[in-house]
Amino acid sequence: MPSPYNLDIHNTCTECTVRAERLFCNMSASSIAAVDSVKFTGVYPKGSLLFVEGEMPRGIFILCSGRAKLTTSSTEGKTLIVKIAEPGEVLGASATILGKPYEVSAETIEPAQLNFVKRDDFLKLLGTDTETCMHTAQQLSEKYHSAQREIRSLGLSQTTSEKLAKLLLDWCARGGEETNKGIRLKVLLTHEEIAQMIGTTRETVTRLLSDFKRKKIIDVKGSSVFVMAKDSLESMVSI
Amino acid sequence: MTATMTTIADTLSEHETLERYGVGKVLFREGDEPRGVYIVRSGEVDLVFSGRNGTAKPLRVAPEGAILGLSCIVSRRCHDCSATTRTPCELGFIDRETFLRQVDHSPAVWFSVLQLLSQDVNSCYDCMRTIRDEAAAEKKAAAEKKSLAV
Repeated sequence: MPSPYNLDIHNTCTECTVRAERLFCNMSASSIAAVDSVKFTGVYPKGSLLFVEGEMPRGIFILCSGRAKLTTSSTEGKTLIVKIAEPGEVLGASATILGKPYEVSAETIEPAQLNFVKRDDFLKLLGTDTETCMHTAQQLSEKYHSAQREIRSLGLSQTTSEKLAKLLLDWCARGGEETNKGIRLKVLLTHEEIAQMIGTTRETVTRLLSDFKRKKIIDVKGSSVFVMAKDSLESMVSI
Repeated sequence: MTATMTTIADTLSEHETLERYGVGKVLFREGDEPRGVYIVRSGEVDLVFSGRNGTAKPLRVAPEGAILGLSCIVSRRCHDCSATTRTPCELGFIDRETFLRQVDHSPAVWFSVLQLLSQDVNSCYDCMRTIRDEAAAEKKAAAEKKSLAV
């Protein structure tokens, strides 16, 4: 049966086939049924803005499939990508809980299914179900640790090539596929977006990737990057 | 101490072990398994992380009322920074099981925990913006210095 963007749509949380693999959604049947009863399912194309930094929180978005980038702006107006959110993550939780403006903007980087839960409904769930509280706490903790890793990388890296090497190594660890050409990474980000992740310019990222390619550390084929010499990348990283 | 911190601190006060420390006491190191949480009853604690080459970078200062190690015991991850007393401190320690058991009694306390975790996440985003701004300012200063030298 055709579906928007050929996505495998999960209409009901209780019947979701991937729920057990997801940190937030892997709750008891009664808890997830409570979430199911208040959620609104939506399918979004690439480039959809879910919420904007500074906007008052309307609720949370549970990312069922697809990926989204979370960005913030420095005082000079430069965009910094703080995270690429993966399926299973809850977006906007900290703002919704605190009742303060979203600290980041969220934009899909590929077609995505998201479940939206209004702020009032989410707070009611948290007020009545400690299991939902625990799973939300786990989500927030993971976000915190992920942010700490980024701070470490931004703050301790000596050079931009080190930051880029660290980024490629992180991607290898989190989703790299072993092939006979090396570790294959599916990179959906532009050079500009990679620059926003590591706090540099698009030109520097292009130059460094060409440099890595010339030294046969990586190879690039379309949107795939093959990491052929992982140990060379590891030797660049001192953090 | 904020109202959120007070709610949690009051709930846990019966179950904590109170200790006084001087300056420079290491509470936990980066990479240690979390055994529980520390409530900063008085004083301040430095949170620092280090690179492989020994470079240390201050992350932030945890003030009175802060709860250290909260995200680690929830997510069962190792500590991702080291904590050392910056001033003489009085700290309350509660092991993981006792902490979660006490919090589970009350959705109101759970909500306070979520608020603290949310504040921690937002502090990280602030930190990233600051690092980015500092790097941009350094680059600008270096470029200006270079153009003056020419």
